[in-house]
Amino acid sequence: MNRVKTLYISAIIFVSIPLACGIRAGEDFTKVQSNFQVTGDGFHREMRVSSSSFPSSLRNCKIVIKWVVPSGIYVDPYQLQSSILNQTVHFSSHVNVEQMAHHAESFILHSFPNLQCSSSSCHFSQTIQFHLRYHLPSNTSDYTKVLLPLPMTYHSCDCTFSIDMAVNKCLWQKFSKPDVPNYVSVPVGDLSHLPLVTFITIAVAFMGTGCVAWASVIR
Amino acid sequence: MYTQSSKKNWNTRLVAHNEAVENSDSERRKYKACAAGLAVRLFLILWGHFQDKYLSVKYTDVDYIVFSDASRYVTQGQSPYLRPTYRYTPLLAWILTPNIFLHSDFGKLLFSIVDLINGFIIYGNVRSRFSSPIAFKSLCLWLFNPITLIVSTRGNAESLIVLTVLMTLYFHNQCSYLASGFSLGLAVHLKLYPVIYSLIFYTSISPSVTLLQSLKPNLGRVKLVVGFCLSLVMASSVSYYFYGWPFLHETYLYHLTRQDVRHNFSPYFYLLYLHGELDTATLVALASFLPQMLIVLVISWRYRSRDDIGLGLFVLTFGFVTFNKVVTSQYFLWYLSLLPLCLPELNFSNTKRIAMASAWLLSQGVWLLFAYRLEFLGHNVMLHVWMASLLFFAVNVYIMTQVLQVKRSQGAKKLL
Repeated sequence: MNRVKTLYISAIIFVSIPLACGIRAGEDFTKVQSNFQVTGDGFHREMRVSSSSFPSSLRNCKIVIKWVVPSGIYVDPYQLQSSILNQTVHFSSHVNVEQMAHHAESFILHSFPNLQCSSSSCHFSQTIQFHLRYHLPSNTSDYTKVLLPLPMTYHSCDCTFSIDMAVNKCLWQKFSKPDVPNYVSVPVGDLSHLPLVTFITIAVAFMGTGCVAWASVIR
Repeated sequence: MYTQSSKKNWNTRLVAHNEAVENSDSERRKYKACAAGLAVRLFLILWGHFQDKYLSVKYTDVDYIVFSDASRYVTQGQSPYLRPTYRYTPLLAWILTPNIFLHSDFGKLLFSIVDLINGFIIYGNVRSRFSSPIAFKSLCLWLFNPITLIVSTRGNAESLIVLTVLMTLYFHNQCSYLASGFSLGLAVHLKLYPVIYSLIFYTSISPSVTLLQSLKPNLGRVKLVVGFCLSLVMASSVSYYFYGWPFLHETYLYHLTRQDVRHNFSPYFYLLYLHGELDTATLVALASFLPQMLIVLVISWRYRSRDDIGLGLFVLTFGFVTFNKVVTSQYFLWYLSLLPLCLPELNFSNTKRIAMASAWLLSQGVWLLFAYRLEFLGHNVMLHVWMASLLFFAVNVYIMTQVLQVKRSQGAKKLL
């Protein structure tokens, strides 16, 4: 049995924010820790993106998560939107949730998580459900691997545009992230089963038809 | 002599009296059962909120979310087909617009109320052939069937399609063939599969032993066809007027050309998946369609008698779903909704009933076990899922042959 595979990557971010933003030195995202976690097995999984705490004086900053979703998986826009009410997500193109991997195309997802703030600190977290697509059967392996790029997170503290405009109009500072390749395994059909499956399925279907026809006419 | 005769009369009257009391009780209990059925459904709708909020497996059907999204587009003056995977008539999106401006549970409540109406129609149909207590049992079988309960309260619209099919049968039994055809056309507009009933309804208007006679037009048959065309063309024209090509494609054409190779109850899934990108794909698709077509023709011919029509619809639907290229649990409702109509006719022994029901459930359970391992645990057990679907298929064929044989011994005298 596969155990729940958890990918837990922490990245300590060392990015300086320009003082022009109006933020006092020492109260920035310098030591903010960004976490990525992939949970679940099988065809339905979740990517959780979160941060460690940062000063509440940064509560007016905006965060954007950018994820290049490969063709081997998909994010259902309607499912995501219903799970993160009152938050904005953008998809770079139409997502066909029914296509097999070799017919699908990758797309980019932008998500703007709300900051969760107390009197002294803030953090953000976002869970993105994603699903594995069916892949072509293979005659060499039971599983195929899909490279899963980690989302990139950005912040901006001087953005005055609305969320809808913010992606293109604001100046975003990128959190650094570990360059660790991540993979998910997708079960695929075994082409060596082809003759067996073809013969038996069609034989059983016609035998079943014969049985029903026989029972229909027998006196 | 006199004493014996009067005693016999007294006994006869007593039996008649008891029957009348029993019938009267069943009539009263009918409403109580419906009230209880509604209460259970309301509870499940409320439960759905809890499960959706706190449990990882959601109660609300993904189709319901699709319907609601499509209705939202309609309320914004846009096409419901902007919602990907909305593959239904726009009528459904229109009907469910109160989901947006009234309450999100409106559709679930509507489907639940339609369940009750279906129950009344089933009761009336069985009552016309059997006693009240038997009709009451059929009603309860429909109202408290866990699948019926869950499907409607999760927000699946199957109860609406079942309603149009039951209405077709109702009008057919009343010899109102224009209305029967109209209802059938509407059913086909809502979902394509009821088109398989066309032949049974057509031939059973004047059943005959020869093929030529069975297909020969007469007034009743012409009315049926006119009613069918009228509603189908009207509903389709209105839909096309508003939404054009997307309506035609998503509602009708997509279902004819659908190639869904993801695992499902059909044994064809692995076959179609493995052949998906090979040159043999078309040939295999044809080979998988042929048995289904033969089944529809054979069963339609077998049940052309008017007396058998309820049972005929059940067996036909059962056969159609069993031999379909894609089978999901939602399709089971298509034939389970017709089972209460004909269960009283299926005089199997209790042992056999239990054995068949157990085999049906167990074979489903085996399939679900492997499907769970594949879908949620990521184990590569596609071959096992395929074998489990073959087992389920074999059980379904076995049940079908048993139903066909039992009825044959009763119905053969009437027709031949």
